Amino acid sequence: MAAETARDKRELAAWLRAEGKRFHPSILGVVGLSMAAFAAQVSALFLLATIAQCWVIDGQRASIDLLVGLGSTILLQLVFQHLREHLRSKLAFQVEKHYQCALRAQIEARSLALIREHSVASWQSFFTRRVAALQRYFCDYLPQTMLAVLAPVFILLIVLPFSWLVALILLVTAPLVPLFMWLVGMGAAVAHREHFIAIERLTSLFLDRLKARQLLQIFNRITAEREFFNEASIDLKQRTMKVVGLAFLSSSVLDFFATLSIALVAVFVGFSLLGEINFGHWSAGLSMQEGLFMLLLAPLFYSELRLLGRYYHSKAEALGAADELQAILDLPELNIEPGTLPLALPPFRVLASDGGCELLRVPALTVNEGDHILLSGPSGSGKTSLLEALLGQRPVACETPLQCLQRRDVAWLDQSPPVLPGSIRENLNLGQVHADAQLRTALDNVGLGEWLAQQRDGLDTEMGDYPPLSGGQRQRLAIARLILQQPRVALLDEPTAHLAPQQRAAITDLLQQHLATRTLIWVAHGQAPTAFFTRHWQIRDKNLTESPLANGGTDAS
Amino acid sequence: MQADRRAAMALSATHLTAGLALLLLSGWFIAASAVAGLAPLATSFNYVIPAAMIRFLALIRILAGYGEKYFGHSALLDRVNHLRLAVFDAVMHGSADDARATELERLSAQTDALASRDIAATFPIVAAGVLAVLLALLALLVFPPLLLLQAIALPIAGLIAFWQWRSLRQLQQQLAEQQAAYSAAIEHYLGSVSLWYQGNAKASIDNGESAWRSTRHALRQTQTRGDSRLTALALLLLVWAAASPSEHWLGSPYLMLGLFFCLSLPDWLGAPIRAMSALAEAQHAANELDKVTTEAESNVPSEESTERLSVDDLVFSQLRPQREHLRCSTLDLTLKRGEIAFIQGSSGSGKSSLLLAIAGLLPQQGTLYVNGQDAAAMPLPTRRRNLLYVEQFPMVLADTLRQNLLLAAPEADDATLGDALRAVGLENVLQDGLNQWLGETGRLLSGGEKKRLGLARALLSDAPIWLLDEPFEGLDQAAIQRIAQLLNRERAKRILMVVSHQPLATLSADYNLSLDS
Repeated sequence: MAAETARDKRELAAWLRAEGKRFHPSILGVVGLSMAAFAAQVSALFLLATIAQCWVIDGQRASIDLLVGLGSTILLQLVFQHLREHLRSKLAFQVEKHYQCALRAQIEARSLALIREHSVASWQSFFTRRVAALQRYFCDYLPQTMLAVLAPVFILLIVLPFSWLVALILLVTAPLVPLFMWLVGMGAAVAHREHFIAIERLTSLFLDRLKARQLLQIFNRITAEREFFNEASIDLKQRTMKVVGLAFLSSSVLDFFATLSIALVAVFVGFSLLGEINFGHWSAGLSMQEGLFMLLLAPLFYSELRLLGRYYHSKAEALGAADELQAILDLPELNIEPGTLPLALPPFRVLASDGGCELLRVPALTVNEGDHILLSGPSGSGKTSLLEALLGQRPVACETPLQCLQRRDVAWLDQSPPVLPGSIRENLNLGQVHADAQLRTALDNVGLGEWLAQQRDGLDTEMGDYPPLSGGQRQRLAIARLILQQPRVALLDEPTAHLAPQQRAAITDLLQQHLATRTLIWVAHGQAPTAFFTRHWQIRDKNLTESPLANGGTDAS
Repeated sequence: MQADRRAAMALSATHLTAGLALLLLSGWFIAASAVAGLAPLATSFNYVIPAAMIRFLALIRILAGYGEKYFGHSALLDRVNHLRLAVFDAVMHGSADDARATELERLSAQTDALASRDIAATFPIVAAGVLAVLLALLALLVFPPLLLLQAIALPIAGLIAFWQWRSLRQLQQQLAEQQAAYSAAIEHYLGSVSLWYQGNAKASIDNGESAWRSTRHALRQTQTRGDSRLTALALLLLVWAAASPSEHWLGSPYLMLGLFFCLSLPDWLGAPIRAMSALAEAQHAANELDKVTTEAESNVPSEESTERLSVDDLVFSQLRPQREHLRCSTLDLTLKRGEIAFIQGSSGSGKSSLLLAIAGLLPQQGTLYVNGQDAAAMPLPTRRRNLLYVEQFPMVLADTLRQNLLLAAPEADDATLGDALRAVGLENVLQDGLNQWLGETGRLLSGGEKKRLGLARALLSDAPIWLLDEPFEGLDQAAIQRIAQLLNRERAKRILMVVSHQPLATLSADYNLSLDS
């Protein structure tokens, strides 16, 4: 179990690194500009040490050349830093845009087949929190991992010509940092992880009980759950403060070495200058300028490592985000190509949205212009999945790419028809323009004439967040919209399911009358085919069969 | 709790001060050693004390850093718990009847933001303040020119911080609003799939998305701007200090103090300036949480005395839920023990709201008499105990199966729980034991299984009145038959009200009503 999650983590980390290639130029740019700023900073420190030497040893002011040099290196440092931040924030924008667009592209290609896989709240967190986590990983963490290696090496190379001992102090402490972190962490790491898992659990428990508000009210368990939660928190604190004590040791290691090496360098340089120590540097002995310069460099040696520590949590967040986003972004290609009516489809199989298990086996089918197809089968048998496959939104197993209906030709009446936030007019028009009289007739036809008369602003009434519509009224509004639209192909998913029984026959007649010349696929639970239909597809036990129709048969309605 | 917090704050100031003192002392020590090294005989420079001090300061800094983390964490855990309990109370007893998942997640995030205010904002700001005072003392005692540098640096840094705080607060406010609008747009976008290819159905998500991104962009730029401004201030000050040392101090190692002061500015003032972001966030969170917690009713009903009544009749007079935007007809009806009322209506006609109002979970209009007594006069817990609402989408707690059932009957033994599960046809779930974990991280129940779990809870609670919200939706024929049989069996000792959007032949209802007038 533990090994498996470790492997998963490695896979996710590999995925993140591969994704990082997308943004490589910018990431490398950030690293390059950081190193340039770093180099300018080191030069400025060298000049500063020289100036200090003039003041203290020679008792003189610094020369103009030195001051101009200091001023310009500092200016360079500021310019490079500014450019880096500019590039970084451009990159951040780019990353967020890329992933939001990629998510949108996947959703739009697969629509409901994919949307249904996650709750609305999860989608919201994919688009905002998860995308933001990836942004922090690519913009902060990833460049910092490179800087944390480059900067110390750079400092070592500079220090080495002045004093091998200081270089040695730094060299020894640097690899010791991860070593000690690991040593101290040996005991703590497991406990540490458990501690954070416990905190995370408590957070989700809290959220879970908040969401269960109504349930707790129903059974009068609010006080009891509050007490339970409070005890869990106190217990967690008591159990984990022991653990954290150890865990914090490992995160203090960096601080320990950074502080210690400054102290060591200061004491070594001071004693060398006093003549108390006579080793650790090359033949000539240390000057104050050199000693001071090394003291100034010592904190810089650790600064990028420390910054990495500050960004470390973005890695965990990004792994969490990758865990969920990877599955969506790397879905297999859909095996489809846009086709035109009449469609002649080879036998194919409809698959679950991750391309895994098989939902439905479909024989060779044809869809001709003007066909009225009745699709029936028990609920949950895959009728909607078939519609999605015909629209090219669901993976299919098929020898050649499946010819699918073109989305712009198709109007789709789904089971919970949406109401747009605009006015009633806009909801009916959908970008086309119809005369008011036409709109009123359409509403009259579906039995919404009286409802329209009650609306304060008539056709201009805004629908907003609380549209003045019941479920059945929504359905009828969507039917009016569909009839006005006169699409080439209409997919009707249980169009009368949510209507009161007395309205069903009327709406069925209305749809059949107004869409008589169109190509229709009509999904119905257990309806017997009437004379209106030209074909009948039936689903039973994951198999679709086409039943022969006695054309011109008796009208059952 | 306060002790931990105070200790953490003191240690945080000590950590920062020891760090800077170490740097200043080291700089001075090297310069002083260099001066002494040139003329070893002229003055006897006592190097032992400063060298020991340097090591001592290093030790202090390391220990203080560790202690700050330890006590800070302890205080944080206390604070999180304290705030969460306040939010819990507010949500449970508050008036919000549409507490949505995203809203709750936001509340939870705000709790965390407010709880970490100490560590992320208060401590760095206090520590920098303490350090500023100590530096002023140091300047007065040994090197007065440092005072001048401080007099320039501190007010400007203060201005930078104030500026940061003001613009960040505004941007965060803006981002919070845009985040809410964007989330709403996402929800709408996902719900309007069938209209994507017509008209401008995707305009609102496009707008929401780009507004969200731009504000985050602006927020990031503002955050880095604070750092850059401080760095620029420090470096300009450094150039100025390097160009104009006072004649009097030339040759003195104390001159190092000025240079090191300028160099260390981004380190010790950077933290409080970066903290402005956390401060603004915590203030925003505090405001939002205040709104929620003050909305909560102060007189919380006690849940202790909730006896089961023996109900003989229910009389509804002009009853309807009191809820805006809801068109729902009123209910006039008398029900006796053993009777079933079947209420039909299309989705959105207010069926659920009606049952919630009857159960006392939503405000009502009109009156309801239980055994001739006005239900509105009953204590809420008693009303909920006896008029049991069986949820349309029963909530499953992230907990064991046993706890999920004990909710309804805290005293019940395992055999009783098993009987209830078998009665509703959940043998397959019971197979894996009462200790199995349910909810998001455990076994996920299907819609039909959840419905039956809801019924099992109703059986366990043994309430005299059951208000069943769409009990058959999403079940297959066999399950529907089984549940209908169960209800027909249970009706003898209860009053049942069933709402559904489709008629059902197998349930012999005494009253058939419709809300679609």
